[in-house]
Parts: sequence; structure tokens; C-alpha cells
Amino acid sequence: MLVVVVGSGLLAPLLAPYDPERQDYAHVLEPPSTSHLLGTDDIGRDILSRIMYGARTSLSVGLVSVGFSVIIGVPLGLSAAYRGGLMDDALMRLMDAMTAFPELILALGITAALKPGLLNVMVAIGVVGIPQFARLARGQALSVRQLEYVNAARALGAGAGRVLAFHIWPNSTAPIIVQASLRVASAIVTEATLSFLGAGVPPPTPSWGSMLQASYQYTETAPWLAVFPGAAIFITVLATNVVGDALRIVLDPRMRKGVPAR
Amino acid sequence: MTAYLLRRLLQMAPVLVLISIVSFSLTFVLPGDPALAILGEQNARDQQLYAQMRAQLGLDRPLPVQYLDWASHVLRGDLGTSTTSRQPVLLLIQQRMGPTLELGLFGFILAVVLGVSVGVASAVRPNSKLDVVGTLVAMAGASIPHFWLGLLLILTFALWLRWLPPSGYVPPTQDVIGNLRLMLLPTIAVGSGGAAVLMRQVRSAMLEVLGQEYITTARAKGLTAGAVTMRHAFKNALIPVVTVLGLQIALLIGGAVVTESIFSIPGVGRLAADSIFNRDFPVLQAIVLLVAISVLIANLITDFVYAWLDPRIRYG
Repeated sequence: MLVVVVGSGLLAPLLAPYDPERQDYAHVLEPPSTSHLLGTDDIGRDILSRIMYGARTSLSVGLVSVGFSVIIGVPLGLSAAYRGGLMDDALMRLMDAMTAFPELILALGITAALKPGLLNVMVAIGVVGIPQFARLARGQALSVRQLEYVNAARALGAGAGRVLAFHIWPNSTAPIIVQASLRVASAIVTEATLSFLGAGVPPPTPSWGSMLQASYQYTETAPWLAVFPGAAIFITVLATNVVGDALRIVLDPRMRKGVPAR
Repeated sequence: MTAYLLRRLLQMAPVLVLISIVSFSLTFVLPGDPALAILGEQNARDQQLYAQMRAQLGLDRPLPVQYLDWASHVLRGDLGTSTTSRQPVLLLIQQRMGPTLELGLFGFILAVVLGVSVGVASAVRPNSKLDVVGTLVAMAGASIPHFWLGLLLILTFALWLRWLPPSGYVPPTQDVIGNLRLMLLPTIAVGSGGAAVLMRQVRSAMLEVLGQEYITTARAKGLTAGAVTMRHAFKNALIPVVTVLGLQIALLIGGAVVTESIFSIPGVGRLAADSIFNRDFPVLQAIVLLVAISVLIANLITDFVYAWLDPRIRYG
């Protein structure tokens, strides 16, 4: 499923039957037919083409925002665990404060501050995800930093940066990869929700959330406007979650042995 | 236990200060000038009037002074005045609190009842038909966006089958049946995600506990299956479940913003969405602050429940 979504997004310029922004007032709100497989919207744009291009928006927001969270959150968590003391306390209290804001409320506040736009939505969702990765990396680093090979590296004269980058980080990656894959799914939903509320990707860029927002007033007369973009979000998130679960099973030895992890 | 509770309360203090700083900062990072918003473009061209309004709002003072002034007002229950309706923010929030609390409570009850019952039943009979169906439904439920589920529910039950009204709100004090009919679809939309996550968590935690030796011992003593499941397994499977329940509070509040907008429920979530689009900073600031404090309190309660459930936590 995920391959189909990623493939249709990547190959949208080749596969999409119409230009996603082309308006055709002779064919507005047309139900699914052979000429428009998933119908048309209120200004005659082809829904299938917009969903294919929308996949690019959703997937790029998912991947870039999670990349942002990992790049900022993981070094913060690793350094907090390695240094300990005041730095650890201060960083973790900051992360506590950030997690006290529900994800959507914080993302809404940040996008409102930065003004709606693709890059700003990525930054907003990325910022919201930082505490998850900082905490996870800190927890992993705390369990690894007292191991003998880390002490040995330190005794050989390795500096903090080297110990963190070459000795602690490689042994902390598995849960972070799993978390990142699951986080992509929630980032896609947050982007769609922000766009649905009018605070996400602005028109005319195709986005599944803004397509659903536009469908709201036609729910009774043109239900396909709401059904197909929503189904695209659902299938993508479901497929990403399945991949995340599969990764967890592959990377967690406890689960490989058939013991369910918490 | 008392020492543990005190320690947790003390740890909350710096987080509360940070939360208040983040909430206060919203006024300054959000685009647009509150003085300009109140005066309007036309009046704000008069520099003297504009400067007077900025002074009246206290915006000409240094930021730390403004923060301390704002914080002292908040501590006295004064959350400011809405720039849109010119009403006290606290009053606006109080007026909108009822529908949000009702939606949150119903959503929470749905998540707990459905999540725990199906999760336990699935774990007791792993790989049965119920387990397979429950796992698939949980996977789908955890992946379906709130707002799309809301739209599908309106489409199916309100517009096609015409069993329920599509949107709106009637307080239960006016019409109990009407209120329940209007709240049913939003409750499903806001609670189904939590139910799905809980279902998976309860199943996983129960399976782990049911494989422990003390459960075999309990069975060997001749205890009934129900007693083993509920008295011995369930309590020990509750810790990860409580974690998820704590997290659900934040999700329910976030979900309320979208769900209230879709179902036209005049609650705090919708007020938050409206305040962003109207650039009504005092309202947004107050909601963000109150929501964050609610989540912090929910986390604290979660920690207390942990300590009650597992003595190793309070003595650790």
C-alpha cells in the first residue's frame, strides 16, 4: 500500500490524468466516471490528480518534519544524558513543558505564528515532535553510557562528541528508527488536520487536508469529495503504522522471540 | 508515598513557569499587533491614538515587566479581555467549558469501556476470531483521522440514514435526549482513536502478564478463569494502560478542536480555532495555558496512580 502511495506521489507528473490545478467549469462536482475516475471538485479540478499530487505534500511533510525532530531532538537527548546535572534537568523540564501542550494546539499556535505555508507546517510539526525523540534518545543513552566499552573509549581519551557520535548513538538507533517511522504517520495526520482547519498548506497546492476542508460544504451533494482524500490519508497512515510495527518486531529481540513488548 | 507526592509536586513548579512563559510568548510571536487589531487599520494611522492604545495595553513596557504583570493577573483569575467580543476571557471560557467537558468525558468513557473490554477479551483468547477482528479494528481505528471519521459519520448516519442530527448542541439541562442524540457522533469521532490505542495496549500488557509464572500458580490453585484474569492479571497489566490513559487526555483535548469545529459544538476547542483566525490573542493565550495545565495535572494524576498500583515506583 505504502509503495503505491509513494509511487503515485513520485510519478504524479507522469501518471496523473490531469493538471491538479486546472479548473474546468464545464465539469464541476461531477461524480466518478470514466473521464474522471474519482470525480471533480467545485471548480472542476480532477480529484484523482489532486490526490496523487497531494501524496507528495503529505509524504514530504511527514518525512521532513520527522527528520527535523530527529536532527534536533536526538542530539539534545544524547547530550542531556551524557552531561547530566543541570543541563539534563533544564532540558528535560523544557521537554516536559512542551509535551504539556497537546500536539495539535501547539502546532496550530506555531503555524499561526509563522503564517500558513508548506515549510512552516513542516517546522511546526517538527518542533512538536522534538520532545519524543529527545526523551527516547536520553533514555537509550542513559542505559548505554555506563557500559564498559563506553568507559573504555573515555579512558582512551575520546572526547564527549566522539563518545556520543561513535559509541552511544549507534547503540541507541533501533528504537529511534521505530519511533520515527510511527511518527511519520502522526505527522501526516497533523498536517491534514492543520490544512483541514485552514492553518496548513495554503491553496492551490494540493493537500489531502485542504481537499477535505473544501469538501465540507458539499458533504451531502458530492460525498466523493470527502470520501477519496480521507481514504488516501487513512490508507497512508495505516500502511505507515504497519511498517512501523513491522520494524519494531524486526529490531526488538524480545518481540522476535514472540514476547510482546510494552 | 507522601514524600513521593511532594517530590512530584515540586518538579511541577519549574514546568509550570516554563508553560506560562510559552503561553505568554504567544502574544509576541503571533503575527499582527493587538493594538492594531483593536483600533482597526483606519484608526491606527493616527500615531497618537496608536501609541495611547499600546500604552493602555501595556505593550510599551519591557517584556519581563509585562510577563510578571500578566502572571500576577492570571494568578488572581484575570485572564484578560477578548479583543473580538470585548468580554472577559475567563467568562468566555466558562461559558464554553460545559460542551467540551461533556465531549471529553463521553469520549474518555467510550475509549476506556471499548478499549479495555475488547483488549482483555482478545488477550484471554489470543488468535480467536474476536482477537483477529479486534486487532484489525484497533489498527484501523488508530490510523483513521478524527475529522475524516467525523465527516463519514455525518454522511452515513445524518445525511443518508437520517437517524441522527448532523451537528449542533443542546445543553443536557434543556433536553437530555436531544443532547445525547447530538453528542453520539462526536463522541465516536473523538473517542475511537483512544479506544483503538487502549485496545492494543491492554491486549499486549495482558498477554505479557498472562505468561508469568504467578498466573500459572493462581490457575494451579484452582482459581476460576475470571478471578485469574481480573484479580491477578488485570491489575498488573494496568501500568502501561494508565500511561496510555494519561496520554489520551491530551489527545482528547486536541481532538476537541477539530471535532467541535466539524459538529458545530460551541466548546473551548472551537473557541481556540476561532481565536487563531480572529487573532484574538488573550483568548488563545488563556486556552493554551489552561490546556497545558490540565495536561500537567492529568500527568500528575497518572503518576499518583502508578505509585498506588506499583510500590516499587514510590520507593524507587
